[in-house]
Amino acid sequence: MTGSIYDLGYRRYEGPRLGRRHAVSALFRHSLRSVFGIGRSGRAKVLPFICLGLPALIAAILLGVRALAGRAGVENLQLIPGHEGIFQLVAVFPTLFVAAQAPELLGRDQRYRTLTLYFSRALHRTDYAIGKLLALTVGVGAIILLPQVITAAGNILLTADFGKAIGAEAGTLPAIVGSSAIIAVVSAAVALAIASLTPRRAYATAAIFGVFIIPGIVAAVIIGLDLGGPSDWIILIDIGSLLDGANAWFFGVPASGQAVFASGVPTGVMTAAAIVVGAVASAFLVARYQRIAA
Amino acid sequence: MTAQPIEPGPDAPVVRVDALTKRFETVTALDDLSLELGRGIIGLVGANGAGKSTLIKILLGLLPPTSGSVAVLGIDPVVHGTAVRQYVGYMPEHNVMPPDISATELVAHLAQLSGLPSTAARERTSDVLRHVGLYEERYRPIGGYSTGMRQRAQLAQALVHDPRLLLLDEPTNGLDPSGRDEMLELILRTGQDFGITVILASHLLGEIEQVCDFLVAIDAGRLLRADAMTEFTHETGVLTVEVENGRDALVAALTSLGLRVAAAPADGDARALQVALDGIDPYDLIRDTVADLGLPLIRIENRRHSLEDLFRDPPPATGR
Repeated sequence: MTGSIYDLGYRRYEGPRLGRRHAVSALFRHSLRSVFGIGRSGRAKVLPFICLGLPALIAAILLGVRALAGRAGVENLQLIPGHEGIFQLVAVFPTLFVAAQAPELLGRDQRYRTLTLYFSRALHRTDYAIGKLLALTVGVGAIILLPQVITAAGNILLTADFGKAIGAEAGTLPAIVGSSAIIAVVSAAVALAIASLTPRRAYATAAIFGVFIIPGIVAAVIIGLDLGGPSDWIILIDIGSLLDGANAWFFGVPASGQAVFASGVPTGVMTAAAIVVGAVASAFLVARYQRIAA
Repeated sequence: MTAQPIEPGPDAPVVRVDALTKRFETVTALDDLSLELGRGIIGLVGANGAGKSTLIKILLGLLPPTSGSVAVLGIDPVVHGTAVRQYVGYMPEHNVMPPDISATELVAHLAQLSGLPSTAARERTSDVLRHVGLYEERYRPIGGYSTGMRQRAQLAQALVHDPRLLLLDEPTNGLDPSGRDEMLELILRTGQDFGITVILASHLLGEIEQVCDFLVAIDAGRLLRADAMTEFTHETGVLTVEVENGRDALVAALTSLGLRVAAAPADGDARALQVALDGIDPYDLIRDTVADLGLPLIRIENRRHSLEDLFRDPPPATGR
């Protein structure tokens, strides 16, 4: 057999055992790496890095346009989207990212029954769900924050008055952080809640796309009919619109999506609705992992 | 997350359960089970559904008991499940290894989840994979492993954090005879050379007899018997005498000499008879009697219990 030379003496482990907090943080770090395909095959990295790279590229292109337009003496530079408009431009990437990676993050452990090995260690079922949620949230956060960082850097570097630009950027910081946090938590929690229902990756991905896209189409059609009255509140079923509304609320601008704008539902209400959706999805995920067989 | 780390009591028994009962909606899986286990390789036997897996899940703190108390290494797993699980290794019955990553990556990750710092986790992973004979294959995806290799990787993940107690649920499930022997050899080394207490749940009595020094038998959630292996397989106080022919004449002759003789032995052999030892030494007497009668003697043997007797006969201790 292969192990014929394996007897080199057993060493005891006398070092520290760091407990539950360490276990959860190890799970989080491992999950965050796998969300971006790090430690996996090259193919596993393609989609996450497209989702990370293209929004950043879009932000860089906007900066270039702004710089060229400024040099050419164009007046209405405000028409080029800044911090407040970036999310709507890149919104497809967080959705794509969670639809692909949430099933990857949860499905494997269910499919191969590896959960048994997790739950027999120094963490609880709740810890598992929370560790995975944090990892995907940070993943989505990176995708939407990177273009904001690029925009901020560009805004500062492209201006003559450094001090004033830095002050202005610092002013937008709470809005950037707040909107990104809500977008990241809601996208991750909803996708994971759906993915937790099936070990089958393809089904989970399709279901996540369905939940993120179909309600938006339905809402846009109904609002387009212009029935008036309460029918416009149908916009609240669309997660993408809720996130657009929340983003607008944080920056204090009108929502940029056509349907959201047309619905006339206040962005504050949409922000609150987004928070509710994130909380419900997170609670569902945690509850689901109390019951899942392992 | 307690401020004070909870550690095993140095003198605590490895496992102590007291009046442990676990009821599910329709079945009682464990029924008033009391047990104290010290160090060693402990066999946990019982038919499928006897409550072995339920007991293991309770010891791991994954299932709360309906009533009764439990302590593992002096820690209550109901309250301090994560603390207990830092010192306990568990190898489940079924294959739970993901095929698409290497044994090294999986085992090192799981070691950290058992509380080991990342450097120690990596070192111990390569140590333990060497111990189970997977050193050469450690960077290969588990999907390419044979059943025996995969099972040994599954043992490695249970050993990586140097547990004080190793819980094995049917570890030879699905293995061919050579894989089975390798696994049993590893279990023996784990218990004897590594000094880790092992609880080996199995319904295969032959395997238990081969590696265990203590035995816990449960049936329908109740304790049948818990004792050192030697107590299960001790000499029975009965001599089996087998002759080619003339058994009845021998029975008559030995009875007239004052021995207690039975002609209907438990193993149903028509050529054998059984003589009670009753504190006397009848070997010479039997030999001489057989010689006087001119019978062809096959054997005189002090019969030993086998583990099968435990389940075949009602055990005298419980009076069932």
